[in-house]
Amino acid sequence: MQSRTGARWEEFLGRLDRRLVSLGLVLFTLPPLVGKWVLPLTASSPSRALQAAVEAIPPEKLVFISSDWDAGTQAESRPQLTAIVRHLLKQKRKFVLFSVNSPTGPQIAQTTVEKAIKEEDLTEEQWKYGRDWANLGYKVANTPWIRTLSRSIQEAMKEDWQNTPISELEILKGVDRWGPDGQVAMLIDVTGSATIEYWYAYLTPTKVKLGLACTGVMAPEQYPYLDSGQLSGMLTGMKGAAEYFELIGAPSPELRVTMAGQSFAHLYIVLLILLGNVPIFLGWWQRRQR
Amino acid sequence: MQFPSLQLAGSEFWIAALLALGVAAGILALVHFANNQVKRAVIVGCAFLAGLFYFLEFFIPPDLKSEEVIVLRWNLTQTGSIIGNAAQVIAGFTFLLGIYNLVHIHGNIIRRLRGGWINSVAFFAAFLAMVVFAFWRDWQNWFDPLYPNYITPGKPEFIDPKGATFASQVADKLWAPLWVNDIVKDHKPRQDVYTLLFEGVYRNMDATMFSILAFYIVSAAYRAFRIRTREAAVLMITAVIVMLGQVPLGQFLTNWIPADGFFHGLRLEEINQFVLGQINSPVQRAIGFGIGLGGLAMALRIWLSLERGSYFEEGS
Repeated sequence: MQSRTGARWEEFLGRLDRRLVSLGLVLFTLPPLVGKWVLPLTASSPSRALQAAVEAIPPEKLVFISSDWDAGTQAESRPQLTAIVRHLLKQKRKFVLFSVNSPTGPQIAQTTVEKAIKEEDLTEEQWKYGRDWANLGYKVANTPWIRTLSRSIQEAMKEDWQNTPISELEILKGVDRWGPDGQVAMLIDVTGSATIEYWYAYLTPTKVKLGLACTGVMAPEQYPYLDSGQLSGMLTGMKGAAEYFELIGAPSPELRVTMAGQSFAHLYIVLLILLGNVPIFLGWWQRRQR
Repeated sequence: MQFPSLQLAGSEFWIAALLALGVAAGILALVHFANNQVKRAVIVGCAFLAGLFYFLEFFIPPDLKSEEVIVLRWNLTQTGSIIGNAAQVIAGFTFLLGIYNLVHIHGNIIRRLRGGWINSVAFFAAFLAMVVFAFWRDWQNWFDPLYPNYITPGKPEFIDPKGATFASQVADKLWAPLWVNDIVKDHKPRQDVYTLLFEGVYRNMDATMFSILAFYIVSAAYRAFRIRTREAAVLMITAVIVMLGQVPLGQFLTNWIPADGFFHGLRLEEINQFVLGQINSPVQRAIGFGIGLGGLAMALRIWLSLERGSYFEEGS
């Protein structure tokens, strides 16, 4: 039976205005963001594994990036894509973007990549569209098409996002196969949904390396694939992006500050869970007293 | 059997497209006017044949030289590519279906002046604005073969933003004014209406919608997560470890434990990795096996049309 204090507490929580709780979240996350607090950050093993996998790609081979996110998950996915692209630029690895999940994804990815090229102090001529990188736009993800893509890139990809035939894109000349025997050594899925499932099912047989940059909530489901080696490495949410920036030697102070804000948001949620359980703790304590 | 590669252009292309549309309309009409038994037979037959094709294509070992699956001189691999491209086209039509659905629902709400009709007006305004400015900006790129030369430096037809005749060239050669299609490469982001709508409005609204989730989570945190049993207590402790271990604050809290010392395993980020890798991973694998078996059973039921759906119940 619940104690009187516990019942009062329950009543108090029930009456608590939800707007106050939301305001609490804002107030809790504001100090680290305004004060630009920076907390310690150690790279996790999945992030290190992704970095190692990218650096092991032979220089003549391409990397495909499936950019399957839109504005909804941009807080996590944009820094992830930026970090990965900057690493590829540092390594002078050519890459090709496409999207199978979000029709607006290619445009957002385009601006993100253009910004990353600028951040690496490269001009448009030094890292030229069509020669060093390309954006093949949005393709509707259905199983027959993905099976075609797994067999032949030329068969499945006809044009880039601005309708330029891929035959006119120098980077894609002769590029048709995935894996060690093909021209594409790795596919990295930067995603806010479960698109990686397609690549597990249809690209794993080609032995192409798979990398993943997913939102925080998606990560726990992917650990079995890291164990099995189907996934070469993984970035988890904003933390994964911040770790990757550190690993590639291009730390992002802005992201570190945002991470401190996220830390305090997590702390606030933990405190709220404890607050909600006060009546139960009180009940236990009173039972033990008796 | 090899399929010839068809590269149609000009009038041949349009005749072929019209012919394809006519045949598709004819088949649709036949199916539409057929009785339910025939419709059922068509659906069951199509589902079975489609399933059989992929079943054979997947399970028959490919030719060692060409790596293609060939059955009785029929190249299943090449046929699969054609089906893949056809599926892309069909999937494109689903966008039209989605637009029709939205227009139908919101049109009805406005016509009957139901509660919240002003939101439906906002939908139409936003939809039209995006469609008009996106098409107006891009249609020259789709239909004018010279357009790429206008925007590519070095080409003789290039319209140089720094040139003295820039304004007159824009007026003569471009199908849209600069405020609709900003071709000046130095402008990043582009200074046209579509970019304003996409980058300035849509993206921020989408991000805002998603971030509202955070407020729902904090609201649910103290209302829903009650430790009434031992199992719930274990779940809460695990959740707290993972929530704090996934952010730098967790590392900050146990940073005093030496990272290379005997007790490094007690650092929060290490415990978090242990929970995710050693406890969560086997559980996820078990769930995955369950889902896989369920999916296989469901696929068989759909392939053999054993699944009961509204249409079949109605038909029988």
